[in-house]
Amino acid sequence: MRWSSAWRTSNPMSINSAGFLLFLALAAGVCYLLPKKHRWLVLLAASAFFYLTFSVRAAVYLLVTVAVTFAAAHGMEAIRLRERAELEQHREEKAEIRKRGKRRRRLVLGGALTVNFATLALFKYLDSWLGTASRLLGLFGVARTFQPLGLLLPLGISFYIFQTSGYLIDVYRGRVKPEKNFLRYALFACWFPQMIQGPINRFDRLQPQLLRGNDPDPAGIRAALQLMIWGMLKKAFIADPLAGAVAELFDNFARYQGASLLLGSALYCVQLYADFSGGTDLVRGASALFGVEMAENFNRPYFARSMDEFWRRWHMSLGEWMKDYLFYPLALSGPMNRLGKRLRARFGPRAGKLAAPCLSTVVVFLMVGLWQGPGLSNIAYGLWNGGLMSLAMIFAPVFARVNGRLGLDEKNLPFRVFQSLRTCALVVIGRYFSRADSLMQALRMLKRTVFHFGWGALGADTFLSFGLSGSDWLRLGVAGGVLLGVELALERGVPLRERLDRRPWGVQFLVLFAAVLLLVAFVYLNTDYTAITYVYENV
Amino acid sequence: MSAKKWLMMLAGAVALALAVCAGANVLTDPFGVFGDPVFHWYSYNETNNPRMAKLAWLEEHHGEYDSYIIGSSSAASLETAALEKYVDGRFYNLFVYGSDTRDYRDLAAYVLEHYEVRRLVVNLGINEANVYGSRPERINDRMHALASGENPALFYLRCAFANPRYALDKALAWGKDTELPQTFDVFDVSSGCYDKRVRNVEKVGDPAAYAAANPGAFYMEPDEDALPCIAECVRSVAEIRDMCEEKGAELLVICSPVSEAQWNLYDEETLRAYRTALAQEVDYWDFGCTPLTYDTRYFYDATHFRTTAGDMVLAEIFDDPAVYRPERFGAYVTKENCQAWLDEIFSDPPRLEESAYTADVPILMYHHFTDAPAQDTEVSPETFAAHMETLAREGYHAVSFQEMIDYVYYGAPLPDRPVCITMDDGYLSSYEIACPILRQYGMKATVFAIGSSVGHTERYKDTEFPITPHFSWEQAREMAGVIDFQSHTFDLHQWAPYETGDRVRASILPLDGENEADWAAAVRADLAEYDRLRRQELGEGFCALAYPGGYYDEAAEVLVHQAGIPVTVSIRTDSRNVLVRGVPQSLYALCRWNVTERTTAEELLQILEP
Repeated sequence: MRWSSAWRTSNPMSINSAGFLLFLALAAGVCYLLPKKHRWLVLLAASAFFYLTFSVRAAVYLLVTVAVTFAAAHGMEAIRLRERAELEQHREEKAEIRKRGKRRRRLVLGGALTVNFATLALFKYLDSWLGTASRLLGLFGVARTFQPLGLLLPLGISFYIFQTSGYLIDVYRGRVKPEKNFLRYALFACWFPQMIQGPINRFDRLQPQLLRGNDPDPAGIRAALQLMIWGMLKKAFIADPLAGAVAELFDNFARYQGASLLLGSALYCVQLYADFSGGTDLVRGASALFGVEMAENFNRPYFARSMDEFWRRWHMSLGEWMKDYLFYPLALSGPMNRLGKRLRARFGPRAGKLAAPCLSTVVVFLMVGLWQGPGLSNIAYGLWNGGLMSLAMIFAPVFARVNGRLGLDEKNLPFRVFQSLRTCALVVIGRYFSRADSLMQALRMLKRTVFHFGWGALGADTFLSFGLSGSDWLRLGVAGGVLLGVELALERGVPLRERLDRRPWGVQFLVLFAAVLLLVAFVYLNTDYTAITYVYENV
Repeated sequence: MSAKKWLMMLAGAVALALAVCAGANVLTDPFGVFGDPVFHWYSYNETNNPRMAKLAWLEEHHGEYDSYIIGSSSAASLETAALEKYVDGRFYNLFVYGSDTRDYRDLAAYVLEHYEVRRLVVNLGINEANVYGSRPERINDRMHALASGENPALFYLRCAFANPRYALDKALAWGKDTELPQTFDVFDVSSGCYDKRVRNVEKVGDPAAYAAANPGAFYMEPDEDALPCIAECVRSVAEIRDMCEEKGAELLVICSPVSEAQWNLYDEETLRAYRTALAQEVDYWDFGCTPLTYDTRYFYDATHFRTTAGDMVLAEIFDDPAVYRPERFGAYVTKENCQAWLDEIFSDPPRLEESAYTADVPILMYHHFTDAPAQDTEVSPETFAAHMETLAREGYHAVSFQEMIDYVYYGAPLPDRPVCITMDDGYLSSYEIACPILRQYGMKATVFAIGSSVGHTERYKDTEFPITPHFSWEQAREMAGVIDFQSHTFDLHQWAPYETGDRVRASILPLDGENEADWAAAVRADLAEYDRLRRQELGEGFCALAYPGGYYDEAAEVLVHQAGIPVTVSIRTDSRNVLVRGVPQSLYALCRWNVTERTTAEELLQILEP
């Protein structure tokens, strides 16, 4: 399964390896030594080299996507230019020409997006669908089984498909001009730091940075290295040590009481955050070494006070992509408008107003769920999140009234803490669906959690029963405590970095040395440590 | 702080972190290549990497040796002390894990080139033809640069920047070190052999119990690549032969005992090819397929023969009649007789009937004899007589522990239907009641007497507490020939209510909180005192010990057998006592069945033949 802790990275260019650091240093060195106008070529060469070390075949798939989207963007641009020329010649047929041009561009866009998402579906879902089809046929007594194709998911496919699709839609909307140079466009699509687990970058923000030939900036490099160190610490000292215990609790859930399963899901939330945000910090840092700032992905999501806010602070680049390219087009679409009007006529203005956003939210989160995998549990995960957010929209006035009566407002700290904890609890429950291998497993686990909670299971023995020793817990406690402390301080607006920068150099050195020593001793020289595959490396 | 300064600080932090890790590796020296300046713990280093640590040790100590054993971990069962019994020389066992004959050749080349070498023993199993020139990634398996020819600077850098976990593990293990070997320090430094004090107290005998205690140990995955490196293996041996000739060193090549599981893994053609190719290059002793092959009890697992099998091998080579060996045990193979020898073992495999080398000897346990038995440790004279009558009638022959020892160590015969009768504690009733009955039925028994109680007829030691009377040494001498006297310890069977101090030794096990060294000293002193007393009173030391209360553990077994006592008995009844010729461990922690007043003749026979 994709979550198996046994599935470990063995590539020499695993971003947690010393080899990757060496690669970064070499690439950055060569890049900064070359004249400004040629630097982007180094970035492209580095990206190609990085990707090819993982798989040559995957690189071919990537190239096909780049070529298709490049051609489609140019196709749309050509239509737009022809439309403009026609407009100048036949001003009297302006509406008709525009309509025709739009239709043609839409056709090209639709075609390219179909190719893009069909490719994604082929790799991500086809085997699962074939299995489902075989089972369904079996239910009807047809003994026809479809052999799974066993296609390996190309590295970063979800990210480059979304990124290039976003680019196409932007070109379609006229937000950006299509890139004329194929290699320059390829650099946008293949920029290596984004290949492991995103973030999903926007063309208009990323491309200029990649091409402008950045000069080395010590302050930027410092910030980049700090980000990388922080990301590695989160990955190596929180995410990876937790992975085994989480896998044990989910894989063998029937052995455990509900309390342990709840703990398992909570630990998974911590693991996932440390893993995903740690990996994102690492790749954003790696990108920033070249003066390229990639999109943010996290903004301390576990302090969010509602599910809506959580999703604005968790995997932000995906959220923004969904908002811009799915939510708004859907919510503002003709059918939605018509639906809103009908509901307004029948149930009143509030129903009409809420219909489009609620329905669109559910659809968006269904897509978010499906993006993670093809299983019913992923659909349930999407429904859980989309449903909760829609319910929150529907009942917002009720909550506001109740809060008003109770005198609770945003200035009330205990209330804010309660809201954050409530959000965390909802996220933890949702993670049953996203971490379980199947919907049935998630439901069984939830059933055990509710009906066999077993308070007695929360003794010390339980904590030592799923693969974590006392010293593991101690180390995790210290690491988790540091993470929580830092996040809490940042959440409260404490400028930690600036404060540390004002301390005597000895203090700064000690902090830096401690972090570096941990990484050198327990990660880079530790031949027993192989980073567990990033959870979102295989989506 | 400016960004440039910070970047310089980062470089400094990285350099310092690397220096700290390298410093930790150099100071703790987990592979022993930097002289182990802090711990001087070579056993640990050799366990971590024998290829590096043994050569590093020899660099300092090669003057103490003039002969070397080369081989893989199975060669650890060729003990240097056993070899030194037969040949004049000081041996060092330079075995390393892995069975890669390229390592053998490199090690042989290095010692022959740099040290004084009179003799070289090369031990070959089957695996040597399976692998050659493997380049291990793990630092634990890498060869020392001295022998591999690796660039020394790179080698020491690699060791300095090895995983710091090795340094940490060694420092942590230091706190857990004990007198006995543990998984992290399994080598005997001065001989280079494994320290098998613990391994060799493993109870061996009952085949079912042995199999249960070693699940999977004798299973081998089928091997698709049938010995792909025969040519390389033989070439390495030939190179060693040439080097020995050049340096004037004697070479002895031994093909050591192979278990049935491993022997059967390959077809006859493959095994013949291996042995024939070898015989073309060197003469060798072949013990690959012998009667031992067909009994797992001569092996620790499928690829490692026991030390006792190694002793048999050396006894055969040096023709030592004092060590038991079965018939058809190995041959000296040359180019000329190789085919005949192979024809012999393949046409008529040297498998023995189990009864030819094993004996089932149940041991009965009595304590006190009295007309009015009130406990399970008391038996009336009538019942005891009835038991003896049953044994005699059913054709059982009582044997002594010395006879059992002679069977195991020297292959001496045992009578049909052997049984061993024992009586614990040394009560006077053994003299007054049991001895005449034993005489009457032509039986004999062994009394495990408590040394400090012998001759005490009224009082517990020097106290006022009354005790059941114990016989005296004078009476013991009178019983000679019928009752043998072995040890129930001198004073490790103390009776707490009658003792004055707060540290009562009721068994051989350590007292609560007692440190290992104090405990070992107390046990050794007690065993020595009993031995001294017995020699003084009966002219000989003792050969069997019954654990007081039946309590013992692995460490106690090690201490007792290290003291030279070949037999220990417990009060467990969970396995049969199957003595195996040539396996001293079949005399360890023997089971005993308690016989009570209620034991009927049928029940007695059931104990003897379950």
